Amino acid sequence: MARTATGDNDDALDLVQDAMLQLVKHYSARPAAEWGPLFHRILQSRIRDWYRREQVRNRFRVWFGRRDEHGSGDAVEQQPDHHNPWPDANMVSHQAMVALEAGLRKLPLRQQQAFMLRVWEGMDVAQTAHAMRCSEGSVKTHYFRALRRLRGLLEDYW
Amino acid sequence: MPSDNDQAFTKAAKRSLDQAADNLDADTVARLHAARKRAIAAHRQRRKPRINVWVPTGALAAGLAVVVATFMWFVVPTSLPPAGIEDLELLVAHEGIEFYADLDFYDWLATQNDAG
Repeated sequence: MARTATGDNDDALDLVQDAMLQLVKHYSARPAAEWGPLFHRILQSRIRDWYRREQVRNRFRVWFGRRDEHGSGDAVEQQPDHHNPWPDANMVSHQAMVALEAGLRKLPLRQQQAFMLRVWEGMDVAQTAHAMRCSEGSVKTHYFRALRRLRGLLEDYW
Repeated sequence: MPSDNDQAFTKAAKRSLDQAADNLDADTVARLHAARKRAIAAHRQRRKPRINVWVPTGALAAGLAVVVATFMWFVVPTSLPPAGIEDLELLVAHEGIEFYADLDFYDWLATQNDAG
């Protein structure tokens, strides 16, 4: 979820690590049943903070003409991983998965969060609202828009 | 109320996301495990009983209070010493205290009268 939101493995792992540490620090005394929703609440909050910081950074990059910092890395690091976890039989589902991830990244953050928490984590509207720190009405709106958009983007697959 | 199409779509999306999570590359999985271990280690660190500085300080203060109380009880007199037998006459006499303060003068006066 963090990787889909950030589009970067390292940033995603940092956010997850931070969320885990915050959970342990502040909520380890709470009942185990609450840990999942609390973890998502922290993680979504961290993703939102990351998103804001990234918007500011992007503005600076545009001003100073520094675009696509990640694209100018070491050529060795850029080599593709030829280990293919997707056998040919699953290639179609792999393509659908890639299309879904790409579609999710096209969504505004709040729509992306609402969709991921509702569909992937199986949270109900109230739990999702708690995790996203917004009203249930907002969750319904974000989720509905995300669903409409994704269905349009993925109509070739599902 | 979601339509059947929506439900089919969300089911397929969930299956796809689960599949993506199951097929995370080894490096990412290892880093996630490491992150989890660090969080658990931090939790254990927090649960370790730490020596509270107030505990030895409190014990020291309590010990000191006991010593002082014992000293006060056994060494410092708690009441005035009983009057000596020589003071008994003074206590039961009818004369005022001024009389006893000038007793030396009256002694001298008596010796002068005797001499005169």
